[in-house]
Amino acid sequence: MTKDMQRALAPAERAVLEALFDTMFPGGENNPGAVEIGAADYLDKALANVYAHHLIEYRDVLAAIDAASPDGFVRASAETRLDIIARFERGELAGLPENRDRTSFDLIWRHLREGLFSDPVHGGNRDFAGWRAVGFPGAQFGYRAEEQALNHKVERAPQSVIDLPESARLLGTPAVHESAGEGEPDVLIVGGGAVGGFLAHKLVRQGLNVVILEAGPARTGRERSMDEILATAFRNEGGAVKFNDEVPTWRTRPGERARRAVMSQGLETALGGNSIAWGAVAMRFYEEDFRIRSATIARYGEDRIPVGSTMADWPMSYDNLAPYYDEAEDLLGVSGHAGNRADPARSRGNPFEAPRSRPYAMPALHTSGLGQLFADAAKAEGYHPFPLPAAINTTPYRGRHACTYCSFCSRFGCHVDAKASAQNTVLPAALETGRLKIVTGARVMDIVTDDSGRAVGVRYRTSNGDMKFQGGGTVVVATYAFENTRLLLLSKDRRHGRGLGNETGQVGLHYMTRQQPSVYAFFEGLALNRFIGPTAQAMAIADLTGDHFDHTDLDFIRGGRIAAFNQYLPVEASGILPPDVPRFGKAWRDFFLKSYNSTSMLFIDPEILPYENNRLDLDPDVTDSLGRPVVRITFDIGDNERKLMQFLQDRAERIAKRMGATRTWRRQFLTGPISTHDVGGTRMGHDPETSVVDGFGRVHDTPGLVVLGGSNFVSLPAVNPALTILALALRAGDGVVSQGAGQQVEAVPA
Amino acid sequence: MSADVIVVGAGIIGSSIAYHLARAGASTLLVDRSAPAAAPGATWASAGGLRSQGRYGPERPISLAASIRWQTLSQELDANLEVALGGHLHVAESEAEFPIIEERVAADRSAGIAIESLKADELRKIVPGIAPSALMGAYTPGDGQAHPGRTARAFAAAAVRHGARAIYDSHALPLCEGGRVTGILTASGEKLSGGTVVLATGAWSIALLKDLGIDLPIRWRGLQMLLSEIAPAMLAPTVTAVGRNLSLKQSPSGQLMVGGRWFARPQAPEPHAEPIDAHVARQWSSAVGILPAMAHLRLAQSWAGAEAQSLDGSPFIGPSGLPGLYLATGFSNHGFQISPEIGRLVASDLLSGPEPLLKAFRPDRPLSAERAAAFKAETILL
Ligand SMILES: Cc1cc2nc3c(=O)[nH]c(=O)nc-3n(C[C@H](O)[C@H](O)[C@H](O)COP(=O)(O)OP(=O)(O)OC[C@H]3O[C@@H](n4cnc5c(N)ncnc54)[C@H](O)[C@@H]3O)c2cc1C
Ligand SMILES: Cc1cc2nc3c(=O)[nH]c(=O)nc-3n(C[C@H](O)[C@H](O)[C@H](O)COP(=O)(O)OP(=O)(O)OC[C@H]3O[C@@H](n4cnc5c(N)ncnc54)[C@H](O)[C@@H]3O)c2cc1C
Ligand code: SF4
Repeated sequence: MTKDMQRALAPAERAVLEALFDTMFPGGENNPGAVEIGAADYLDKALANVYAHHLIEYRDVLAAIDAASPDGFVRASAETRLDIIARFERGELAGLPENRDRTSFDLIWRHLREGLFSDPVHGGNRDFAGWRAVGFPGAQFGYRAEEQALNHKVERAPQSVIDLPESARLLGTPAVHESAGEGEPDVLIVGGGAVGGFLAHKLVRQGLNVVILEAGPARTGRERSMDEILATAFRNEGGAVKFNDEVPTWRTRPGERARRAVMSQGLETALGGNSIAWGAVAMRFYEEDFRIRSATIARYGEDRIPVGSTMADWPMSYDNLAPYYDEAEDLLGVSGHAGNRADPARSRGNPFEAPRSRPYAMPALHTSGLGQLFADAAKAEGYHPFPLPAAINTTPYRGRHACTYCSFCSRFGCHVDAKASAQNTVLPAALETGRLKIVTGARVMDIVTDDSGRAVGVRYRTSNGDMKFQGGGTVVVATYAFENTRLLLLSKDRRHGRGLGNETGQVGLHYMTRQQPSVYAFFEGLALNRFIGPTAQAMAIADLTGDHFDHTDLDFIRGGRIAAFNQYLPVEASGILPPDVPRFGKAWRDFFLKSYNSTSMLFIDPEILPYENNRLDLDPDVTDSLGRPVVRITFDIGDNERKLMQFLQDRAERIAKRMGATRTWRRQFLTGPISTHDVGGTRMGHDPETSVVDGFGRVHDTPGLVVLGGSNFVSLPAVNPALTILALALRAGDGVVSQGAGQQVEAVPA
Repeated sequence: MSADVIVVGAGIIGSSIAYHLARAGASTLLVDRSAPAAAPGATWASAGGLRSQGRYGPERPISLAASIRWQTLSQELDANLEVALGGHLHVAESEAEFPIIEERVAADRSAGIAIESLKADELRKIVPGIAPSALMGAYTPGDGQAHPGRTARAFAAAAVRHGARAIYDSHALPLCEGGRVTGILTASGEKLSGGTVVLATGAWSIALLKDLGIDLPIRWRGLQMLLSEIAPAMLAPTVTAVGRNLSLKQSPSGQLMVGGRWFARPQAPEPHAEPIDAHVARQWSSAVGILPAMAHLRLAQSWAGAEAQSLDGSPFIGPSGLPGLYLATGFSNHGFQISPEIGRLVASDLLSGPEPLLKAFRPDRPLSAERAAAFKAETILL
């Protein structure tokens, strides 16, 4: 093995970088400066290795900065340096590189934060100096409940991910194959993510032979756990190679030029898909969500449907889906408290939740100090706080370990398999039947149809570039909303000139993506210890969700969820600032050092309505490295959502104030596609004129082809989507089976 | 492809053997049906206790030498093995049990093991939270714990660094030709020839031996383990008790790990087992009895692993009787501690001629046939 090169920059460049970093994050009474913490070493090493592709940009930037002062940047006074950095941030320095999608300042600021606060294995954060400065204990196996109490002083020496003990006994990587071998499976599933795994499990247990083609590599999902920058949002290494090469572009309206979407969380494109990275909030939709249009009209009249909205009812009712919710919850293992619908005042769970035939398998995650603070304030405001149900074990469940509250949760694989993924739940049992073959490194390029227009298989590209054909009795596409849409549009034949499923021009329409216009709350002097506990360990209210409150006198319809989540890791957190705090200098440093352990976020998940202008199509200008067009997102929120968000932010702010927040600030309404709750694009419905698939995911105009995932959603309720995605997939599993047996299953109307 | 020695099974035993063979310069091939220390093997499940006290006579010198190896094994293998040498404590809870402790101390001392007999107040200095019932104990300060999975993976990786080849995700069937084993057949149907094939296949050995027509008094059992939620540091040594089916330790994560000989429910495909809830409850309360603070803790995980057990509790190490086939199996839930020395001794046995320390473990040692049948048939009480 060759040793990583430690440096890429020339000494003069390095000197400018050091001066830059130490001006951006200067040493102070309680903290060493950026260079002493190791940020410059970190970056120099990264530029020689993983960030080599940024080296030229850095050279240009450092030269521009250096040239901005007659004696050079290093010799400039502190004041001059700050002024130069401010001009750099505004893009005003001569010679700065041009970037289409972001500024160089954005990049350098992110890298500086990485060097300060990422695990020392990457070469920065020397002797944990960055972590010590903010009181972050790093990669801990887990925490005890009392450590999450407000103002509890967490007494733990910071620890690197390499020193994590492996006390739990966990399963290895699922056995995968190089090819599917001879013969055709009954069902060919494209995409080995959440849907692919759960559907395969269901089908093989019914005796069918199944092949999964997965674009990415096999993994346990634990490979990059507890390393903040290797997880999806920062470096996006390993688990997201495919997605990083095809990040969709985004514009707000037709006619505009689309720019690379800044997907805040990234998407995992390896075995297990986003069942590895997800936050595991596992919540059912509300009964009324399935008849959003008719219920709105019945209560408020047709004229309350926002102009331009394509709101529609779902092609099934909650009751149709309920057994499949049960099935999905059972496979995942969900912790939570069932709601008391009859007596909301005494409900430990969500009093608005749809009827359940059985309790949750495990009690809810325990309530953190912060969660209790939120719950008390919410109650005082007249709401009914409850813990979010989560596919996270709170007791041993089917051999898996209980949550240790480690906090490297959403965007990370779970280091003890407490958080459900495809590989730690369904895949082992499915593989054990011998009827499932998983082929990894198999990137499906298009769906192949026969002369009659029936789907008969797919063409895929192996990791070494060979093209192969794989047939299947039924072809199921389960590759997440973007790729589902792209694959249909890229697959054409004599009968499907505009792409499969697209005879009526419906593919790509009705796209929705969650916006999260949170309210941040700073509690001066109060230690929240939010670096403990999973995101899903949250107290929430649903009083302002859907139609749980009267909209007669309001100027919008529908609602949203407000919740106080845990998980707060320092690379990300150091980028969360109120509008009046600059991104560099003492002001930034002081704010972050003081606020890191005292900032909470009242997370808002508003319902997003579908609109006729919002859609996915193929970008005419931007391609991936194989020369295939990436998905172009056209998305904006409507006035209805703007008013709703204003309303929710006002309410959240009131809760925050009651919690004792000493200052609050708000995130903007529209931040763009977020890569976690993207739905629509292959809408479900009974009518081929207004939908692409039926309630079982069967493509109206292409026999033998099934599409599954969030892309089938008709609307985007204020609830996390994955449990409903899985329930729909399991229900479709019944449909696929019957179809394979030659029967027609009637989609059950609402 | 061929090798001087083909080691089948990359549990702690096979990995250690392969490492020592490769280090000695032998051309070595290590094969595992899945991966080093994979579920549901004994190494995967193992509690990882390093206990040199209370060993069966012929094992004592091996165990003693092993306990010295453990002190520097992380450095030797250049890996974090989670070695923590907090001692081992064997506790008596009634005066009637005192003689057992005294005998153990005397026997181990005479074998050169550093063991002390502790009185009630001395026990409490080592484990302040120990139950009032603990009256006396045998204490070996050099014992402790390590991570079995990490150790097996480190042995296997070090073997490869020393030139061994490793094939994972492929089972190996010993290839019998003309009355001798000449190599193995891999999952992909490939034939690989080897001078000697070492069967280090733990619980899987039972079926393999049967197919080869080798009759040994050996069976497999699932043993279950428990892990608590994270607790403050409260237990430095690993603990066993004369009157309890128990092994107890605090892992580096702060979790308390509870073992003992608690059988799990056998499950298809064999060998495979799942914890039995009723046993979980009793196993847990056995631990709470020794460490009452555990009563406030919750269970975080339970699991079971498959272990090969021999009639007399000692492993079968040596020529199988079938030329070309060498056995290293039946480690009967105490194979981890001795594994570094077992690997060294087997390598020397194979490369330099009969190793006297292994004499007592030869597969052809006399064992009662009648008792063997009953032993194999013994049911697992649920
Ligand atoms: C950080 C994060 C947090 C989240 N948190 C939550 C949460 O708390 N609650 C919740 O309900 N939801 C959450 N989600 C959303 C949830 O993870 C997804 O809804 C869910 O994973 C969707 O399942 P899927 O099978 O449709 O897609 P995925 O799980 O994304 O699987 C798609 C699979 O298809 C593969 N693939 C893609 N293209 C091809 C191709 N051309 N050929 C072959 N294979 C291909 C991919 O590699 C991937 O494995 C979160 C998502 C993220 C990213
Ligand atoms: C629950 C439990 C707790 C224990 N606690 C302790 C303790 O505290 N201290 C202690 O010293 N000992 C302990 N032991 C005992 C110790 O862990 C075992 O003796 C030791 O791990 C046995 O290792 P092994 O390599 O023989 O078997 P295994 O670890 O079972 O390895 C066998 C390997 O062979 C492979 N294999 C099987 N068949 C084939 C084939 N046909 N082809 C290729 N590969 C094959 C398997 O995949 C497996 O990896 C414990 C055991 C158990 C089960
Ligand atoms: S579920 Fe999340 S918080 Fe809990 S142990 Fe796993 S990764 Fe950590």
